[in-house]
Amino acid sequence: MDRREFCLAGAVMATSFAVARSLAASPAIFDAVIFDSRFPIACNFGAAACRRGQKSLAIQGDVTALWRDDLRLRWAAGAAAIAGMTTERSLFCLEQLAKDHWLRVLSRRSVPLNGSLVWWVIGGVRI
Amino acid sequence: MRVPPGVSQSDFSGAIAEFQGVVGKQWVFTSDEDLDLYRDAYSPFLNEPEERMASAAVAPSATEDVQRIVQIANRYRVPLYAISTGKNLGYGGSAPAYSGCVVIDLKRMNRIIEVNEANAFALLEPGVSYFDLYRYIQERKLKVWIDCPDPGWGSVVGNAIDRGGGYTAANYRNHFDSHCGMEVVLPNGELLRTGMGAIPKAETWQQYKSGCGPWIDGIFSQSNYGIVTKMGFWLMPQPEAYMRCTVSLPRYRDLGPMVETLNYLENSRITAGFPDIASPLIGYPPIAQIQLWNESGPPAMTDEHRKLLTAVELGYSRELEAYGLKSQIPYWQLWLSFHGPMEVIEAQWQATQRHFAKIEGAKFSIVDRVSVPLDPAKIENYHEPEFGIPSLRAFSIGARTPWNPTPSKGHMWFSPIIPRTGAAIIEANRVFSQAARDLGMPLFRSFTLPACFWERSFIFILATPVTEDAATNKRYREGFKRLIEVGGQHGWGEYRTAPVFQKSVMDVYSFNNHALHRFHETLKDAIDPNGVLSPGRYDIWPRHLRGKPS
Repeated sequence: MDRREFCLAGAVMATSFAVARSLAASPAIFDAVIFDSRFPIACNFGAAACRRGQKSLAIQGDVTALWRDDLRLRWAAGAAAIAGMTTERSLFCLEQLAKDHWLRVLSRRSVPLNGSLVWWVIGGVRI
Repeated sequence: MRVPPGVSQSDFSGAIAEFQGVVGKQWVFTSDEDLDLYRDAYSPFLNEPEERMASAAVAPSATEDVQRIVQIANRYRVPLYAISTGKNLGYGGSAPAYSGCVVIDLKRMNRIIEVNEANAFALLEPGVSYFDLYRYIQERKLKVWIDCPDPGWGSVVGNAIDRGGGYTAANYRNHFDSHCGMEVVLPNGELLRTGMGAIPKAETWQQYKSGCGPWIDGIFSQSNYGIVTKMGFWLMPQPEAYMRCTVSLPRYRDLGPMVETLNYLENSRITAGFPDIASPLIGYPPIAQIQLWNESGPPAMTDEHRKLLTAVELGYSRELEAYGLKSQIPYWQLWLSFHGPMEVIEAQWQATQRHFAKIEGAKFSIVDRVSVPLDPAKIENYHEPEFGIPSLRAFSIGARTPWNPTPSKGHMWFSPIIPRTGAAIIEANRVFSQAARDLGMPLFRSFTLPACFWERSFIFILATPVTEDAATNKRYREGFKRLIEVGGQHGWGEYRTAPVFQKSVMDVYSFNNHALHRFHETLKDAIDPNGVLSPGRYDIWPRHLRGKPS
């Protein structure tokens, strides 16, 4: 799903969630927003970010392609702040990969109504 | 600022200032939030005072920087702990063996110096990850494969030094064995090259391993005698085709003949791909399918089958075997893979079947027969590391799913080497399952099958969970140490372990009043008299720290 397709898909989603709204209302602009497209609430989160013009990237649990094709280059080019709504396991992988660039998890919260998901921000003391 | 034990604040400040002079202020880390990045994500002492912590970290970008840092550390007697990328989770991660060390973090040294397609070798710095090397090869369309562990995010050099393993052909799966030549910064800062690299204009550094005279490469693995700053590796020529097949055997007693036949075929190189032993009847998956089972659940099982499994002893009951025979569910299933020209691997598979056909009731199946390289769109259908493709999908194994509702916070690998016989598999299950039950350890609860990373031996690789409960973690740590002892009493030792357990593991290697350990210490005293380099790694302590708690 490319960004345009994602925005269209997000726009027709019927439900709205507080976490997604809070991101949409946030003044912070992240370099990318990651969401696990297996979970509707995470899709909403990504859609809200997309509407704000933030680059949104979908995963389905495994972060290999995301990291290989995007984050690796983004982080190698300089510190980048990213936010996401994923499983804890996906976040764990991203956290370990972020360490390679001296970036860290700045914030993490369980997602209400879905015990499998966390929403988080990775950035760096060097940002 | 944290300060290493036994080092004064002023000396430490002096060392830090000099480190900054070498690498620049931005590459020396002393704040708590930066140093937290060097904690072991799977520490068995999670959030306890004994958790190993660094006092600082320094990230050089060149071998000359490493030499100068080591010289400064000697002047101030500051202990260092070298890591490549620190991704060996379950075996210690990036945390030092001795709390208070300055981590010398080599991940900025990430140059791929050479990949030679014509003779299939590479020369790398320690910061090069398997992903980096794979991408380099793909971008240049070089026809060579890497052999990577799973997950493949770690350092090629670091994994080899830690003696890790992978999933392609037998002569590449043992990562230390497949190296060829090293460059090492010694504890006094001097630079050494091993093998043919000791010749100033060496033309065969990555082509002939041992050079002339004593071959010393082994002492720089799982040790603290030097910092490896370059390392050569032999790569696998990209095969023309890949075939994966299964051999299914119906009876419990077939385990021994199955292993004997596998050994002959592998030692003869009739089959060289990663052998993977499963038991459909016991419900034990091949390694290549663990993540699939975790994602979508194990194959369906009848109530009768499930009930029979509750009454097996060491994986056996007459009733279970009868059920398997009646339902045509194999007791054992050996997954074999072959790499090479199609006509060659077809012939190898024919020979393989001829040998296994001597076991009554053996059945054969071809699971996959594909040309290489794989169609990228189909890669996810396979266990990528068996094609030399690094992946992070392994992390789905520990994810929360309906089949794994309470994932752990990490794990410590229990990984003893046992003989490559069917009898040893059963005996190790008997010994370890009894001990684990007595200790209340969550290991060996059902019949457990070993892995075949190495030739000639088996290895169990079992995850002991790290939890958020300190009392549970303490019980598991003590149980883990006891399992190491029990293994040692039967002649089995770990191949690798986290710093917390390195003393227990090395105590098992006690032949002739710990002659090996005493030799390690003699070497340490000779080449690192100030004891600055990675003190305590694999229980090799400098003289001034021996006998003191770490």
